[in-house]
This record gives sequence, structure tokens and C-alpha cells, in this order.
Amino acid sequence: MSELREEIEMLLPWYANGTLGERERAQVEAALAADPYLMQSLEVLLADGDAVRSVAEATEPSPAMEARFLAQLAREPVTGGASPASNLSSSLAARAGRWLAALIGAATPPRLAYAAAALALVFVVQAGVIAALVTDRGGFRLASEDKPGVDGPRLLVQFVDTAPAGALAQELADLGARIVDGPAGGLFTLAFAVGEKRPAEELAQILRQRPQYFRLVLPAK
Amino acid sequence: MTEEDTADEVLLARIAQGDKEAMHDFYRRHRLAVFRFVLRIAGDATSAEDVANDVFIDVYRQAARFEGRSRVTTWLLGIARFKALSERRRRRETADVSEFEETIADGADSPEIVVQKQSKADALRRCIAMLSAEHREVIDLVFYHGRSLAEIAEIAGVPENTVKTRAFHARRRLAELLTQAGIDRGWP
Repeated sequence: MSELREEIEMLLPWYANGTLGERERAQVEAALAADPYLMQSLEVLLADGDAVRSVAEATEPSPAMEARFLAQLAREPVTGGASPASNLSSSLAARAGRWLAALIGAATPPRLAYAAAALALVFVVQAGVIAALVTDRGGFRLASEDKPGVDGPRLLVQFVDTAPAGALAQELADLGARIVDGPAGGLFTLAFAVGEKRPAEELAQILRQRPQYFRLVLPAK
Repeated sequence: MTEEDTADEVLLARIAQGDKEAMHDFYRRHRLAVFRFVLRIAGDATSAEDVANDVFIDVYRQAARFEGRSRVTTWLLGIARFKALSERRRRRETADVSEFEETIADGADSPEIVVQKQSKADALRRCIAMLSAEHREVIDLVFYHGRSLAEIAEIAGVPENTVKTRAFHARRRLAELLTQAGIDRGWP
């Protein structure tokens, strides 16, 4: 077997599962086009992959497994207070807050960035609504959460870092949504107007169709 | 990073704050994958369930230590691997499992018997089950868990070249088992 063929064959499993980088994928594809042996190897590999998944999926845990886990979890003391985000410069929360922090031109530590992000959103999006920030163990709660008019469905969202603030503000206004909390774990809580008739799931779908603004949309509790 | 990865990070952040509901959500998202991964290593369904549950209890206790250098699920499988190997060692020490059981997971049939009993696809599945735990682990991580080369190296704690070689030998071994069972697929 030539050295190149062996090298490519070693990469085939990851070509088959779609996790190779662009450069290696191109190398593999060029080699596959030129070498029928490698193409045969790939076909065998794909069949093996189907069989591996089939074998794995044939095993199911017993229904009692989850019940036992919940019993174990119930016995665990509540150990809150330490967020992984506080350990991470590249954490989700830090990323979510970064572009907003940049709006006010401050290079701040993550916790300050959260406050900056919340403030920036209040100014940019809520346009004149006076919101008081109340700290809550590293998270932030906006007093405007309790204001009348936004007691409709709620969603948790993460904004796209590069979304232009003005366009985002307009989009939220068009949707009849306001930011009422966050960021917590990188997510902001959006609340829709009291008169909003559409259920949260339908609203979530609408937001997911706007990937230029919303990186992630989740149901709120 | 996919939306799934982001959701995992969000849940982990809540778990780190002691949110047991988030822990339950996280458990429901990943219990099957963790159970199946542990089962390949531990070899026994009942212990695999207990080990998988212990993995998630560890996640609850250690969520704040997650450093974000890898995907949450890669970190999770790393914990699962460590615990499953410990369980396998424990069972071996207490003679619950023999070397034979460990490497020939599906028991008594020879490859010839397998092919008589089963269709070609079934024979392939049964030969996969006859691979060693080490070979099985790597092909499971590639094909069932969809992990990249770098992620498998991280989970298994070995260099990427070792992972590549291991996957290659796993495929060769599988071909040998199928040949013994009278199935020639034209490779290698």
C-alpha cells in the first residue's frame, strides 16, 4: 500500500462521519476520485458505520434507570454559586456579552461585561424605558420585568454577536418583544406583550427563522 | 459550535448554580449516549446503568469545573470513560468478568456459526460485537457518537495518531472476522 493511500485510508472514518476539516476533506475527495481501492474501502466503511449504529441503538437502559438517578440527585446537596462562566474567558456568557460590551467601548472583565451588556440592551432596545438593575449573585434582574404590558409569553434567546444593534432593536419592536432579564448563562429573557395570542412555541419558531439576530431560542420556564 | 452545544453550555451553567431541573434536562438529553458508551466498556447492562447515573451525579458536582476547552459532550464522555474503565477494573478484580467476556462480548458462537444463523447484515452486527473493547470504543465514537479525531484523542487520552491506527486495526479485525464467517466484501 502506498504511503499516501494508507494516510488517506486512516482518515476515511472521519471523512465518513463528516468531521474532517476543509483541507483534509479535499485531500480525501481527490484521492477517492483517483483510487478505486479507496472508494471500495469507503463503501465498506459506510456499511460498517450503519451496522455500528444499529448495534448501539439496539441497547436501551431499563425504565428504572432514570428513577434511580432522580433519587440519587434528590439526595445531593444543592451546591450553587459557582458558574463555569466565571471561570471562562471564552464562555457562552462572555461571548454573549462581548459585542454588547463593545458598544460602550469598554474592555471589561466578564462580570462587568454582563452588566454592560444588560445596560446597553436596555438603552438600545427599550429606548427610554427606565430600568433599574438589581444584582442577584452574579446575575442581573431588570426591574422592568414587572412592568405591565410584557406579561405575555416568554423565551430565552442568545443574540448573534454581529447583529447590528439598531436593526435588532427594530426587530424586537416589530415582534412586540422586550428584554426583561439577563444575561444569565449568556441568555436574555424576552417577554411578549400581554395581548400576544400566539403560543411561546410558535413565537420561538418565528425567532428561529431570523438567524441573523438570534443564535439560540429556547422556551423559558 | 452547534446550537446543541450552546444549549448544553447553558444547561451546565445552570447546573453549576445547583439547578436540579437543569440537571434533569441535561440527563434526559444525554443518558442514552452515555449509557451506550459505558456499556461498551463495562460490558454489563445493569452496571452500565449505575455507572452512567454516577457519571451524571459527577456532572452535577463538577459542573463549575468545566473549562470550556472542549464541547460539553466531549467532557461528558471523558468522565464516562474514566468511570466505565474503573468499573471494568473493579469487576475484573472481583472476578465478575473474565478476559474472554471482556473481548468477546457476544459469547459463544464462532464466526462460522454466526453466518449460518444470520443474514449478512446480522453477521456484520454480531462480528462488531466480537471486537475488543478498545476497537469497539473507537468505532463507536466515530460512527455512533460522531466524534472528530481530536475529540476521540481527548476522550481516550491518547495521541491522534494512536486513534487513527486503532480505528484502522479495528476495521482490519472486523474484516478478518467476516472473512472467517465466509463473507468477503472486497476489502482490504
